[in-house]
Amino acid sequence: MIVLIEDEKISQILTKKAIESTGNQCIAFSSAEEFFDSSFFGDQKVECLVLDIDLPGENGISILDKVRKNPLREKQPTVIMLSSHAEKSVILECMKKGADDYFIKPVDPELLSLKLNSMIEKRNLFNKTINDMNVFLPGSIKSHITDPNHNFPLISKYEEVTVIFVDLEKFSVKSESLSLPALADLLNLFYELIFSTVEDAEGDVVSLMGDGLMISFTGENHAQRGVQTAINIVEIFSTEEHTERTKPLSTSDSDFSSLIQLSVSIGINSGEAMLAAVGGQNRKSLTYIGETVNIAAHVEAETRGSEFNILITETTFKLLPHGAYKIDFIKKSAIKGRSKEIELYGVKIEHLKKVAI
Amino acid sequence: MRVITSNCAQNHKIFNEAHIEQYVGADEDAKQEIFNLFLEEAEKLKATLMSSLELKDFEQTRFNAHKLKSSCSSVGAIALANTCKDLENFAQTNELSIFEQSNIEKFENICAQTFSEIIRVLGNVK
Repeated sequence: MIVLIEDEKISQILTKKAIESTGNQCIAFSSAEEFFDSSFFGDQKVECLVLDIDLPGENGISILDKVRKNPLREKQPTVIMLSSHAEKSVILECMKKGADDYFIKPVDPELLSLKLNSMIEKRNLFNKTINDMNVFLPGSIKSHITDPNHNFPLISKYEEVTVIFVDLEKFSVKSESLSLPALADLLNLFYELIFSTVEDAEGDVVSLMGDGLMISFTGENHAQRGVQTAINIVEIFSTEEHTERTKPLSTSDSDFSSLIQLSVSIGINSGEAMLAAVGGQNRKSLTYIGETVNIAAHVEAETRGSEFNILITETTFKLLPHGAYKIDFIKKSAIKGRSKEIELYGVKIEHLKKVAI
Repeated sequence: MRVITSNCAQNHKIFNEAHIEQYVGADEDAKQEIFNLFLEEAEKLKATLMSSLELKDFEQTRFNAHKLKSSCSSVGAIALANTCKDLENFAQTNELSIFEQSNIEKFENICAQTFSEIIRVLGNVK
């Protein structure tokens, strides 16, 4: 959709006709006030703004400035300025404020159509690239990609974090009986269910590792949000009653049945970790590194042979509200290369019916 | 003395009918709608412009001349658009004090020619 702001009636009608001849929908306003009062300011559906400069009240350059500085808008529209001002200083001012092009009136409709089509095509290609790329990125950095005011976090930073490792138990045994496409479907379903659970609790899937994944929680109550998410994940894979409610509509019964025959093991630890972009010059991954992460991975491995699907460390346990969960001390565990053992706790889940393969 | 330089002789044509066809093609109804709207708007703008000229109100004159210029450019009224551009420049440089009565007469004359030419074209629109 294209928004045109032009107060001069005839020019508005003719420019609107020229825009509509490109096959695009056009909404016209006669002043900045009308536009800002409408729902179209900040609307992601607006692909392009065509702005006259001389308007009653607030002029087109001021509108351009506000649109470019709008923090609510993730994707910026293309902006074309229209004016009978041919002075270089006015054109330069518009370009400096972020206009994509400048047409001197009277506008040649053929040129305007060509320009609009080319700009929209480029913008759509850019958005498609970003969307395609976003699928492969952790949620915490997705928004940074298109935000011009945010520096991409290549500089490492320390954070208080709850790190969770999730693994599909005995997945390799199960995978032997499946074809590769069925295996891919099963993994995608596993991830889809976990992603939505993690997103609901404002956590981040940091990385995928075969049949497992690493999740992080930062900010307020990160340990509690992490443990609750882990419980929710285990419940999805553990009780038939629950899986009936969580089965995605797009998933076949047989795929879902294969999935719920599996169970998950989860290890959780909290503490300071460094968020770092690691990798080579042309390919990097954003991940947490440090002892906190290593211990969480170790804790997940300790769930093998345990009656608990979720094990947490003493550090995480101490961050939880007293009495919020049923938690039992399990054992002390030695970690290779560390002199001090860590205490492990098991999280009890009501109605849990662990399915064995 | 600075004079308005745009006149019928210099612009060869007072009105370029082909200009509007770039936008509306052979759509006679659209042409009629635009020309009628132009006559209505331009008459109003001319009156407002004359009154700001009389008051020697630089900013209002510049604004009104700019608007009329824009309308004229949109429909292909070349001579009047150029006249308005000169008037806008006079106002912008605060030189309306030396704007002569003869220039006002010239402006009114071009307005009259433009309007009658458009009325003539409008008569030919089926």
